[in-house]
Amino acid sequence: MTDDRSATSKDVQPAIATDDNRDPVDVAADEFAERYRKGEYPSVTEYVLRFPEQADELRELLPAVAMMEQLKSKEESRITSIERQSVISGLKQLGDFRIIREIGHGGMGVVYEAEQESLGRRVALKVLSPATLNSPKSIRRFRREAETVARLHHSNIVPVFGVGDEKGLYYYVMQLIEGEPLNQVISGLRDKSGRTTTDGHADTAWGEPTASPMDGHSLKAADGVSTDESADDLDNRPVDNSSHETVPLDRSMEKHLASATERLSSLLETGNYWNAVAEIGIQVARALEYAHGHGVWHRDIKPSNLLIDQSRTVWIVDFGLARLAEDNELTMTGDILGTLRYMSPEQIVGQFDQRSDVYSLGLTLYELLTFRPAHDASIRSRIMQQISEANPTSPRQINPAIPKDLETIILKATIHNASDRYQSASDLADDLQRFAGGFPIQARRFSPVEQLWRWSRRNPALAWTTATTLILLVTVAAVSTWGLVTARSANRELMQERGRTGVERDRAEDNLSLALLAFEEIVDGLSQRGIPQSVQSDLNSNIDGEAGAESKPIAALTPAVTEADAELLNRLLRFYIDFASRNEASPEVASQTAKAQRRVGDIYRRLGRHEDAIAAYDNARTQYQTLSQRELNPDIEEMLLNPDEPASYSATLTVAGISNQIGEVAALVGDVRTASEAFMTSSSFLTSLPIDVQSRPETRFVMAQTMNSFALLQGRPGFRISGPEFGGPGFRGPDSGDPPRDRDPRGGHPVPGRPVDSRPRDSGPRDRVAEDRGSGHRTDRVGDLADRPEIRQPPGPGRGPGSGPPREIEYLMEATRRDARDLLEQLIEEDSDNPQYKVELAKSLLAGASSHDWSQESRNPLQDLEAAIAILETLAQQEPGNPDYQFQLADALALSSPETERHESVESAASRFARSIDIARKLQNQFPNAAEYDILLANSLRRLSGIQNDLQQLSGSQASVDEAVVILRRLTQVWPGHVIYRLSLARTLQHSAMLERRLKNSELSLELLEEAVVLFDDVASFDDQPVSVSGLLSMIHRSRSEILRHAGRNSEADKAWKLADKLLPCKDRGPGGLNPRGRGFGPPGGPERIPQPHRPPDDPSSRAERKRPADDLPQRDLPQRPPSEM
Amino acid sequence: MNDQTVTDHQPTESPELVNRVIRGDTAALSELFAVHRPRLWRMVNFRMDPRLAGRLDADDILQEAWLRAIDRIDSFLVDASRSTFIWFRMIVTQTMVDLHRRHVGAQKRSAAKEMSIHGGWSSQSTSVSLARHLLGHMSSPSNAAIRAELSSQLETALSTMSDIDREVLAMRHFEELTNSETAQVLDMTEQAASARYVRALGRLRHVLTAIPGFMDDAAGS
Repeated sequence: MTDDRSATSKDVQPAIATDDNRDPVDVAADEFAERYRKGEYPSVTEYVLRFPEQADELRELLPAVAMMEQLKSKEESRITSIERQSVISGLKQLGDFRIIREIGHGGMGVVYEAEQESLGRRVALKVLSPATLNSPKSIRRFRREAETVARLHHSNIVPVFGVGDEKGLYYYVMQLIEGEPLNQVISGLRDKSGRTTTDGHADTAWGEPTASPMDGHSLKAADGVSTDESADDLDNRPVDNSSHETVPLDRSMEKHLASATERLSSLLETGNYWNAVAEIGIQVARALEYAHGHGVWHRDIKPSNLLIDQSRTVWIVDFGLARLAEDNELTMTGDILGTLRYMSPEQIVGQFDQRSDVYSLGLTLYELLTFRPAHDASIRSRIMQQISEANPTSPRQINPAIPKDLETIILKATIHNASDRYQSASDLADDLQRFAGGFPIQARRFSPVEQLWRWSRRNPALAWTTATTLILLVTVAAVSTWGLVTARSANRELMQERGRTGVERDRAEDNLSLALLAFEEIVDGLSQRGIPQSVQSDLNSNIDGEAGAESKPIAALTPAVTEADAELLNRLLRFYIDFASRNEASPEVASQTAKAQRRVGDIYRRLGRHEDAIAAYDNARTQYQTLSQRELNPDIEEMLLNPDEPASYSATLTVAGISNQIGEVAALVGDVRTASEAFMTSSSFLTSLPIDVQSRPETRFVMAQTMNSFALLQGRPGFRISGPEFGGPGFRGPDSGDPPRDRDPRGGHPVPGRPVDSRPRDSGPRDRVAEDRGSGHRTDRVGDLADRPEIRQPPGPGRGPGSGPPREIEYLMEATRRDARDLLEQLIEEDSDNPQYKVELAKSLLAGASSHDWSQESRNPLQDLEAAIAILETLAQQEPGNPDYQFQLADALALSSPETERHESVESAASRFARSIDIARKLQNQFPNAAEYDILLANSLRRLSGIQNDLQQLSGSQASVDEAVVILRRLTQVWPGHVIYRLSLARTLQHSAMLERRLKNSELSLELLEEAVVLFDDVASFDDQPVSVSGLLSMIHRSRSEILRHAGRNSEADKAWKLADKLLPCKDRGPGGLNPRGRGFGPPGGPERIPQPHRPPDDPSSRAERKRPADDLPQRDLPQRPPSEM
Repeated sequence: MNDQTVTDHQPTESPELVNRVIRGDTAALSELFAVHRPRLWRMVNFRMDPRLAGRLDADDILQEAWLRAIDRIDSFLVDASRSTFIWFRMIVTQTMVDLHRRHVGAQKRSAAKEMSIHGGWSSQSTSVSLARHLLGHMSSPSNAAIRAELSSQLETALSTMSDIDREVLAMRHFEELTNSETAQVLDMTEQAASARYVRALGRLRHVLTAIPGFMDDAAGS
């Protein structure tokens, strides 16, 4: 049957009816839907490739088609399975088998007791309903199931005798086990022990005597085994639901059966029950150990799949979903098999190994101990949330009689993170055996702190499933209502405060703060999902030519949030806006409101709505300023400077902080003028504080941040500075590199050249350092520069070299950065325990490493880089459990800029990247769901690949880039909404293609490029894309063009070249030229080329790889390849 | 292997069969009805008001429609000239509307309203049916909170599509009509129907991606 169908589909595929009346997209979609209806599940990619003209539309539309067809068939099969159940329910005979009676049925089929007439033996016959096997996929699964289980011979695994099909019905034959499924045992024990939950449903479910007395074989056919289980399977049943699917049988057998439960329950009274549970666990774990050893995972361990017989032997049934470990092909990505309630967290996201079976067994044992499921929610999405977010309640909290060691074992088996669990079923079996034998167990309990840490480690994955996001949305909806109500009542109460008691008012305010806190947690959780700096710089470095220099960086236009996140954030936004608009009356609430406004800004920023963010920050700033004038209670977020002094200081500090945020957002979008004004404002607020307040560490830290952010403007595309006359060899900064020093740093609103305040300097440590260095002008440099017309007006597109801001300004900024660095170093000296300072310092140093040294003072950017790495290394060592530091360290190690490339040896860079890869790999293992570690790893791999290429280690280079491609392909699948992943993939594919070409694999090279182009088509559908995006695509097309031309496919080559040109014109040569220097795009290497030592830092034309843009493999000081190879 | 499972059996409409029906042969009409039955069943299943669920099922409605078809066998030649399927579909539609009215009550769903546009179904009922079916996979039906939330989101989203867009999608996918059949029912050219369909798909996609988690959830399951 399978063969017939696939043959048919093959015949159908190539011949597509063309119909002049119909939209070709319609024709393709029609065929796609038709095949879906036949159960073929064609891939979207196939159609995209087959119909290149409609590729965009098909990629966009076919998923919707697939969804509709899928939903429809699900809905129908739900109905037809009931309908057709009768077909197989009435069976009397099936081939050699005489049906004796039905022992159970479920969504997938019916289990009968039958007699195999030829052999005269009793067997269990599992007959699958036609609805279950209505696709080649499910038939394959059925056959695989049988084949797999038939290989297993173990005393705790129900043997499968064979499979067959008759009258279109598929079945398999198993040994008949006289046993009872554990879910029924549990339910019986629960009744006996008189335990009830507080859950009303549960009470009714369990309040009656064992509902379906079963004897003999109670293979509960399919209860929720597959993804097509209907959603109500989980409906309100705290325990597995097979009992309601199982037909109650023969009352006469009741007594006989009850004994299994009876026996265990008598143990419950004597206290031997716990050992009995351990025994059950040992049997199952040993059986799993055996199966795992044969490369078979069960994938669906749960109470109803474990039968216990009279002699207390446990039998595992339904290796129905097991698949061979090596057989990956048949399970589609994202296929979620197994029953949700007992699924491991990793299984939910489509990953599985033996530890997942261990987890499911752990949950089963948990239920045997506590008589209730560990994940007891009654709806699907809530269960998924429970699984993904929480370790189960400790069993001893439910029943203190449970032995502590046994609890420890169960908890270890069910730890969220697979690497913290028992690593194999045999480990679990061993520990259970230790417990049963009265020996000390190996599992160790976690302290509350460890538990908390484990919990927080999971946070990066906050929104990794759509279900989780969904739940958050619903929760937010609920909480916002509540939050607004309390906010309103708080407001009202404050209005009437004279007549109210303080207690009530306080409570209302507490509620308010709580609501805000809840929202902040969500926002913070989301904001952890960032994009590594090194990746952003990598992608933005694609900006080529002059147009690119004025373009917005990629990061500015592609918020690192998915659409689902965006929706969540939008809801939060509505909450905050609503909150802010309603609550201005009372002073206390006004401070909360100001804070909420700031949050609004944060959210807009995350959403990539930068202008809105600036507006919101501006509002927040105004409100804080009002607050500071009113001298209200300090904002709770800011630390209390001193209980005795005016709270306005703290508000002022906040105002400066917000100004910095405005500046950073403005810098992101290239609005240098707004940015520098914001930093200037920040600086003037800070300098308006009394001297003693200024010298406090928190003030100086904000100041350092201000200066740092300001100095970082230098690297922003909007601030592009080019001009050989400023970088000429004769240049030296005035006054040995220092700016004019005619003002006092604490002038209220510094204007260049005009002292505002001539108070003597205070003698704080900051200034002492400054004096030592002969430069006391850090604070006003910001003010200086913001007033320079050159900065207010960033160079326009038409401005060529030499029209940038004077080098003096450039120099000032570099000096500001150094001042910030000094300030931070000083702060660290005073308080070496504050990691914030160190992180900020590392940031400053990293900026230094990649910025161009205008002073010509033979500054080595590598020193900065190494210093930054050293700082982060220390932090990472001090707090090995904090992945943030590891992440930042790896990110720093992966940094690469034209400056570092000039100074660093290839070998040193290679070792740096290798270390980055090591760290990223560890992080990735620890947090398989955190995409930022994946992309970091991929980026470092690509960099390493580039270096390996330079070192002529071609196969190593190939391996590195291949791994990067694999990672990125997965990322783009998991996070289709993230443009940056696609761009990274495209970039990496391009790199890989060039490498393959170098290895003479032109075909493969071309394929990789095609894949990159396809990715890009999607990206190109985003509006307002930065030039770097089209630049990258242009580069890819040019590479294609060259390979095509080399292969003699001239017309295609011309076409590709034209595409490339359309995206980003290449000035110096047309298609077909062979001059390697002119190849690619960007300014040609003509006589006007800027001498190397004075290259502007962000001029892409100066990048080493730009000289060989056709292959984009950076080469350092190695012998050049012959052009023909390129 | 036995390939004749229930899902595979595909009887066909032959000219002789149609000729027999035209001559008034009810056995032939029965055969013809069997040919179209799967798609008619889909239509009923898709359009049936959930409130009817306990009282009627799709088979009841098809049974009733079958009786009506026999009554009208004399007009077959004229009415079914373009497509026998469309003829049956019309009869089933009318049957459904009548049964709905009888069981659910006329106050909300008057026959006139139901039949007002596009092949017999009001935009409202198509919208509700679409939402109901698209929601099929989202959550347990018993969970009122999530479902109501999503359901209203989805219905709102679908209501931003035009009536014809919704009809086209419902017919092409949930009823499995071909393009030319869709064109006939909606009384437009095949070219227009095809263009409509592609546009409607695009809008649906747009609508669904606006609802968080919807598309990825479907794709992942």
